[in-house]
Amino acid sequence: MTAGPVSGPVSGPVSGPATGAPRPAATQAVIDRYDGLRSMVDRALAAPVGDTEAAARTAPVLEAEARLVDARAYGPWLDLFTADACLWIPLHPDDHPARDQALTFDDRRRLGERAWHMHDRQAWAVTRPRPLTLRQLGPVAAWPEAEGWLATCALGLTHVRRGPPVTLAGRQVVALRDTPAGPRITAKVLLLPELTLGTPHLGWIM
Amino acid sequence: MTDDTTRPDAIVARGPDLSDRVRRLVRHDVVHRSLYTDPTLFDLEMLRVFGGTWVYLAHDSELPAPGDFVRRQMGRRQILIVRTEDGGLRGLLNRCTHRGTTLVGEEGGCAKRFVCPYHGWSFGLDGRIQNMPVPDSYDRLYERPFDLGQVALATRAGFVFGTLAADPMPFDRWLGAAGDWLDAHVARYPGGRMRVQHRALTQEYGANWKLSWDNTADGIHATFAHASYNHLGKEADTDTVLARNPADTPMVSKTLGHGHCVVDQRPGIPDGPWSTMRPLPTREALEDGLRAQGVTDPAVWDLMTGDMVNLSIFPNLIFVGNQMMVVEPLAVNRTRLRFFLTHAPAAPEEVDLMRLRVDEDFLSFGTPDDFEMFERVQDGLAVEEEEWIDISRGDGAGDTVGADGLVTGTVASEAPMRAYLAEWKRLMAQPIPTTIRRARIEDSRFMQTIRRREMAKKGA
Repeated sequence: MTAGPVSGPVSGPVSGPATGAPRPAATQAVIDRYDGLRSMVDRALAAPVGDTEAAARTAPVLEAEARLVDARAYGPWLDLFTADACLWIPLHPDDHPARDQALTFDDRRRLGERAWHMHDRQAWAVTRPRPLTLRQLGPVAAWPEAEGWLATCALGLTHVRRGPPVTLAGRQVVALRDTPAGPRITAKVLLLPELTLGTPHLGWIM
Repeated sequence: MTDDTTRPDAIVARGPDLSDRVRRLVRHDVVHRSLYTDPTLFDLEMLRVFGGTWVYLAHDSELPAPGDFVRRQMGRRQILIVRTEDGGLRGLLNRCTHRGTTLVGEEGGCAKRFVCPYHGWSFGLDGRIQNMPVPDSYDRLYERPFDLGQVALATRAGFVFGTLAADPMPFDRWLGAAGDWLDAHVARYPGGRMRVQHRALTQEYGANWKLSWDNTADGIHATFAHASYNHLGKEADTDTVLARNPADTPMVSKTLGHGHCVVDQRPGIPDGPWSTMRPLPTREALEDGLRAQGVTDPAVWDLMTGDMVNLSIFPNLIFVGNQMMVVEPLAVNRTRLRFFLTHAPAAPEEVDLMRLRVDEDFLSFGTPDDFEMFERVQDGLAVEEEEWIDISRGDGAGDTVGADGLVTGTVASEAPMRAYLAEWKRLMAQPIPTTIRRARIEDSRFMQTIRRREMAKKGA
């Protein structure tokens, strides 16, 4: 018996439109972005031992990102992301954003909306009562890439609000670009195995 | 026909007569808190509601080729929906007929047969036993009902439902007016082709499953429970559907019989569903892509989001946006929801690319607030001294009852709640005869081979 989903994701880029006509440039740009995210995750998971200097440059950014979002300091937190940044939380580590629905696929605009939402007193599920969260990061492995760096680390999330604490363990894969302000996040991917089984709502996750 | 459950044709009606009790617990306009808190009622729901009537299991599109299967829940039972070699479908109990081992651990896959990992019993895609180790160690093996148990299946518009009821209500009669809405839902897709994504988003809330049903046609809660989501819409200058005043909208709710209901939001959206969408990741680029191809038909653009018709098929299938939400009760105070995204494979690819992102919006900013409300209700219902929940809104104040007994009301009406609870009462009142359908022993090639071998030995 073959295990696995009936019609699972196909590795590699998404194929072109069924008509055979060239894909519009705008649509292709979306596909390219999605392919890039998938490729970024694949590279990080299969990469050799990390580069020490790359880790030294990127680890402080990952640490700050986790600490600031736990502290609900969303202004400085958002400043760590580039204008074209995205956050992708797939339902399964093998998924592709062009093919599979995700828990989250945010652009920078929606990251800003999340930050606002986490302060809105009418966001009942995430502010009443106000949650406490703690992100724990494992050692950061990183590699230099064309625009900056690719980094990854293990991640533990604890969320306490009402009812039993929610704890999740996984891995984050982060692409960073070198900017005048220092390394900044262009893409963040959270791989959370518990999503395959089912979790309480994760409206608080960022 | 027998009630001896060691026989393959046994029909058994389990549990007590609850007629008096459910009559007391569910009145026309109030319902008792114990429906949401009593574990013994929950246990009986797993027999009578999630076994004694038709339950949604899978969609045709999930099983394109022979050997394809998915694993689903019917109450506490795991069911394998399997595409057989002749192109048909079977609903097999995921339970070895030897000592009860769960045969399949995966959510889905493709198989030539199902082999029990414990003792190697092998079953075909049609559920018939094909082989076992050391069959000679059984006396009169050919008399034993070892083919996998099955549920009865029925399909409408590609949606596959199953039941264990020995004499179920005819499927189309049970669907009733909801059947036409189901047909219309699929007809919206180009070529009538709808595809269900293989992997569902799975989340759980700490409350009774019926709170999803109380919510599904509740048009008032959106203004208050989803205030934050509505604000995000206002910030983007988008008149989202949920932000509309429920007392001042032409949207309607209708009961459809047997607990099914529909909320039709379309009358309140003259510019079509896509006009109500907030800014979304990749939206501008995909709209540019459609324009570049000269796609201007509003129906194609509207296909990027849900049809604004919230159809609900009792007890476990709720259409919301581009997704199908399947309700799986886990305990009296715990429920799992599986959100299956649907695709339009015959539409321009921009449509499915956008559909991927559309429902992530509400799942991020809206669904958590629904879960919060469900859990707060469950907490509130722990107060034993407050026994009753009011469900009277709309009754004699806005609802109209048709000649067919079906009720139409505003989105503020609680008629859909009253209707599904009436169906709940009907199912729960008395034991429902159920049967494990199984291949006749006479039809089993394996059993006939064993029998001939036994007869030959005895003759020798």
